Amino acid sequence: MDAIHRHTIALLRKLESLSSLAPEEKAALLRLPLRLKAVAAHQDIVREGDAPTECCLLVEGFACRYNVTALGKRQILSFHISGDIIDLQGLHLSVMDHSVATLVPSRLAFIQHDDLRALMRDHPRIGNLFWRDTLIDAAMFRQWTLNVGRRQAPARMAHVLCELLVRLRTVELVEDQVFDLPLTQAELADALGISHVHVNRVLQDLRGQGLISQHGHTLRVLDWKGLKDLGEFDPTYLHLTKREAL
Amino acid sequence: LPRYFFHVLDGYTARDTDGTELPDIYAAQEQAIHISGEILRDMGGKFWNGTEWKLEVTDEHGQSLFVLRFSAEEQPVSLDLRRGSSAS
Repeated sequence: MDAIHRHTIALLRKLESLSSLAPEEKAALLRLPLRLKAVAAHQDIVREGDAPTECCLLVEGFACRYNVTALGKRQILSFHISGDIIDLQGLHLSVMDHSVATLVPSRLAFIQHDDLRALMRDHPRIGNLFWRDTLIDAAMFRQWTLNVGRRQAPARMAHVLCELLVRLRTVELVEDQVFDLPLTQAELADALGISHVHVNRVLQDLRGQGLISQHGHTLRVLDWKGLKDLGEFDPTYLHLTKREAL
Repeated sequence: LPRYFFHVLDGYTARDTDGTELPDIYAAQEQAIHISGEILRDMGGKFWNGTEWKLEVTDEHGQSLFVLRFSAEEQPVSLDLRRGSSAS
């Protein structure tokens, strides 16, 4: 039980940030059969056009969803962290319309679609929670679109950092406003829709304003209110029940 | 692929230490315009209060390949107009 628990604990924390879970619902989630896999950085987990028969739970690591233009320009559409079932939509949309890739060495747990269907049949509230989770996913994409379409680069960066901090906090990966941000400037560039040269300038600007500090892959938010104001970040779209996470 | 480095010379921005792999110098020239456009876009109206800045592109050996210069020059009539509008 403990061994299994280790792999689903982040998922439990995440789901509990959206709604409370009854003991039997938690137990059912912990009983899910998992196929564990360690994956190196920068590997595709599922590709556009695939028709997966299982969903991918990110146990530990960092991943993203992306699409690529005909000329090979990549747009990162979202970042994913421990506890995210990254391709939950695959349960209802049989063909992938985007790709999912690891950004750092990651540990994944694959869950058969049939097992998820059985779980939702036996525990309808979990089905509702998964629905809610995919709706919040869509809400995050709406904010992402506004961000890359209409904000200046420093505000884009601030918004993405704010969102990551709040989401990482729900799975207890933030301590004292500090979190691991193991992304390269090229990856941040693909997420924000700007060049890596501009990412470099923007991070320097945020540090210069005293909003953040960086040491290697560790990012510390020095001025949470300032960062939120710059990124126009309002966490309502994340629909978290635990307001203390904000 | 050769690696090109794009240095923003504005007395503020750190030099590009990562560089970008691109097929050839034409692609580097295109990328230089693209980067300059991003910077101008974010500067907006602030560009008028700034001093000249440059984008220098170097190769892997630090050899300078080309430089783009950006500055705004206001003619006396423009300054008069601005003085007029701020006075009113």
